[in-house]
Amino acid sequence: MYTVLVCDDEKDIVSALKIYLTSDGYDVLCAYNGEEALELMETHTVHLVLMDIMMPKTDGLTALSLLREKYNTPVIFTTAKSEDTDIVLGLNLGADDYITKPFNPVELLARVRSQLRRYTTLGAAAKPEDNVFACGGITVNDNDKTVTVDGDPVGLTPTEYEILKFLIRSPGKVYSPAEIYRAVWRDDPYGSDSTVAVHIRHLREKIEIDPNNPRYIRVVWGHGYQFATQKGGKPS
Amino acid sequence: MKKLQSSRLVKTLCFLLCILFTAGIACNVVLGLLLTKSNLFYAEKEQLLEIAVEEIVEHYHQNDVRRYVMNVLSEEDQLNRDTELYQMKFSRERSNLSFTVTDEDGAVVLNNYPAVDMGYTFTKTLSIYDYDFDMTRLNEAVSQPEETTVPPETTETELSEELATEMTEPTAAVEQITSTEDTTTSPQEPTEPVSYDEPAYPTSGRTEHIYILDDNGSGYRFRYYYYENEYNEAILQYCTQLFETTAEDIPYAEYTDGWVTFREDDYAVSDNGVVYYRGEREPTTCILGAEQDYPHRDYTVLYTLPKTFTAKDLFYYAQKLTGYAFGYIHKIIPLTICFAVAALVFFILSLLCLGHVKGENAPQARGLHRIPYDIVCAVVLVAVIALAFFVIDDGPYSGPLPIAAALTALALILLSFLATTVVRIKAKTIGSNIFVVRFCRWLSKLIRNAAENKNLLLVLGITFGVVTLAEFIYSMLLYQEDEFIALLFIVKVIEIPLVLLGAINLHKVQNGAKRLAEGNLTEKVDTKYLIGPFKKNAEYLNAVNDGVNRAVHERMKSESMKTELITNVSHDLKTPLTSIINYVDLLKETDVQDEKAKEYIGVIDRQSQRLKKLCSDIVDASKAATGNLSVSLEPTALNVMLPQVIGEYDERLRTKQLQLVPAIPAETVTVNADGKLLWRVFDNLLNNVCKYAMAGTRVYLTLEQAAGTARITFRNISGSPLNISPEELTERFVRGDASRATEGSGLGLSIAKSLTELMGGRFDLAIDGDLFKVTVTFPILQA
Repeated sequence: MYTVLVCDDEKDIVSALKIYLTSDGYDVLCAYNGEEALELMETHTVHLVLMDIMMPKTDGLTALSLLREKYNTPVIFTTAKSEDTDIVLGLNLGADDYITKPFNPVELLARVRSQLRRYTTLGAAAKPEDNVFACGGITVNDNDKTVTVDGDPVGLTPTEYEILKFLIRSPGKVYSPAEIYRAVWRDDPYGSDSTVAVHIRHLREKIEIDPNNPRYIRVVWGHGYQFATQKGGKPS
Repeated sequence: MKKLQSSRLVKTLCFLLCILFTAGIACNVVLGLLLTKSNLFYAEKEQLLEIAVEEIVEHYHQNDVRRYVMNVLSEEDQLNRDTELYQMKFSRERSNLSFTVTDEDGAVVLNNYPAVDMGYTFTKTLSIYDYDFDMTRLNEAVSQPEETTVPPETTETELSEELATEMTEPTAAVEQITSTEDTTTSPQEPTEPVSYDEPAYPTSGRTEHIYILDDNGSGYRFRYYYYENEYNEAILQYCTQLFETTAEDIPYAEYTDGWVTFREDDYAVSDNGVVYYRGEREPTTCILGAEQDYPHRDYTVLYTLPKTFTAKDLFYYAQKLTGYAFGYIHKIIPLTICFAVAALVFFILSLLCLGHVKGENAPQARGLHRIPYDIVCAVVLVAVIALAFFVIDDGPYSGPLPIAAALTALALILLSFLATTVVRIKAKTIGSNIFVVRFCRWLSKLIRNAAENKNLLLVLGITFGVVTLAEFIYSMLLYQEDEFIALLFIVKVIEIPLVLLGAINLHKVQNGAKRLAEGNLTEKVDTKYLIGPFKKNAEYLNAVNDGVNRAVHERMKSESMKTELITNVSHDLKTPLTSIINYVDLLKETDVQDEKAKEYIGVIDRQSQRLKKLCSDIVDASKAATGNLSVSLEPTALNVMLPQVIGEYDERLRTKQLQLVPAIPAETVTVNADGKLLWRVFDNLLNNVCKYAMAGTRVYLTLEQAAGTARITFRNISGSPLNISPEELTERFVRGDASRATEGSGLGLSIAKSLTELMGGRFDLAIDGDLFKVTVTFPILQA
């Protein structure tokens, strides 16, 4: 049983989130500004924080930097500020994820689950085995050809599996569709077709929480695809 | 000390005093020279007075005495009244001068009053001339000038003798004509003029005394100096001066360049120098020669002055003045020395002060001292030479006072020159402030400036060359004088830098205007080296630039405020929207039995999702339209990107039963674009296709290269009739009427268009019936 601290100055949103989280089996603590959140952190064991940025008294960013002095609890920002600069600032200050309002409750729950799993079970990086590639919450085990996202097994087609394996072997490197085609299909691509793109889209739909704002397999437009290493901001 | 040095009053005072003393020295020098020349430097007081008295008699009384005598001799009644006046003038009460006139026989003709006390006595000869000359004879001389003017010297003596015989007839009014031959070349000439006090003139020319007899018979004496070949001109000039003639006075004369030229038949110059001249004052005869050779009767006048002057006339004052002058003459040397010392002291003082300016530590060259040094030198040189010539040359305007003035001016100029030199040395500008150097530097800079723009130089050179050539040919055909051609050449040499300067100025102004026209508002026209109207023009351009800058700045400000407002409003909208979405979702989870309620929840859900999309689109649209967006352009391969895009949409298109037909070349097509933004463009376009294309139709996506541009075309068949113009479609919030009810914000195309333009591309929309066609064009980036 994990405890989630929800902090937002909008009481309705806090209540809604409480309903969702409680129904998903979490204990929920409510705070309506940064100060209250910090006080609750002192008195309770909190496993995850959902925090708004624009709040009275202590705002989210200040509260986060104060919080990070003592705790390494995962923090997800839920905010109306959707500018790229805001997202980058939030992540740089130590937030683990960033969800812009208005959010989809299902997506929010998925992200909460992902972060909690990473924080609790997968907190320490698993000892690398041979033929096992792990990056972020994704693990590709080439021995039994299984893929897990945040610990949950995902069923991939052989082609998707090959593409993911190819990309995760060198995270951060951008591969052009032609290179991916050659590596996976072991053949020269014919002209400019979108076979690779279609497969990657499918792959994203399976392993990403929001396929339109991928965390792992990112599109570099006009160049190719990469397996993102760092917690990147979502392209808006 | 410093304060005194920089005081304007002290500076001016020192220099003025210096000049004053210098003027004193000049006066003393002139005076001393005059006195030395007349052997009067060490003269006694009595000697001075004697000279003064004789001068007074000669200049002020002799003519009166002559007229007095003539009146007495004449028997006309009318003249007797004048005689009374003369009696009064020369009475004992009014005049210290007593005179006795005796004729050639020793008979006393006139005595004003008997002399009392014989102070000064001297005698003078008074010649009474006969002026009733024979008109007919004059006319003969004029009408037959060639007969009277006999050039050979041998006949000259005959002529003189002939005239001499005529002169012996006492009743006959005959002109005595005296030879004006050079005194040095013909010393045996019997009618050689008596020598006067004037110094000898240069031997290369000759000097003449010209006498004119007026109606009263008294002679005006003029001295004239001329060179041999200018003989006639000299006489003419003399006549001009004498009669104070102008062109109006002498209808027979032509007036050019200040000279009066007599026509040949209006005057005649006899071989022995008589000018017969018939002007309006006819008959007047100018005689060149000595007065005693004119027919006359001589009288002896004995002038007597008392030792003490009783009447307060000229002699009385002359005596007083002589006293003063004597006193001054004796002090002339020590005074000059004193003046010299004083002038030197004040000059040194003013030199010390020069160049120091209030508020400046180092000496400064200001005001007149900023005139280039070589120009100053040239002016000073010319002035000094001119003044020196004036002092040395004993011309018609020469005299003690003008010479003293000239000497003073000379001293002033030299002192000023010395002063400015000192100032320049002090301020260290003497080497740099030279016109020639500055001019050369300016010229070289001009040429370097012009060389920057070779086109301008070429056009200018050709035009100028052609015009110059034409001018030279034209002037050579018309005026063949070398002087004119030379003048033209000089003018051209002066013109070249001027034309160059004008052209460079024009070019600068034009460049400024061009920049302005291109919308480059950051760079202004540099007005520092512009002149006259170009400078004004450039200033106006800069003013326009400022105005536009201000307007643009304000526009930008208002646009960014608008974007900020929209962003803020959308932020504020987002929070309540989040609650709505969340609670609608929760409501769906609850066990609602009522079918109607379920349907309503569905509507709220759909509409809140639309509102959510609208919120983010509105911010994007406003940002894209105002360019308030960070764009990082980098080479992007379209032939790679488009398949990626298609891949993303593969699923959705299939869901909508749309068949995508891509035509993408295999070769690399690279454009400069921001991948993320370009994705937004294609995302919006394909989104549009998915939303509005008729299900089951084909969608064409083409990438072509044409004329250095990459053209991406999206073509699809609209699901509902498009009763709208393409222009309207890209307006924000506009959608085909029929598609109103469907999802979407109506901002997609507007955002796509704005983003494309932001990246330097073109976004074209065409509607042909149900065919909906979007073309996005980007310039191809050359590898």
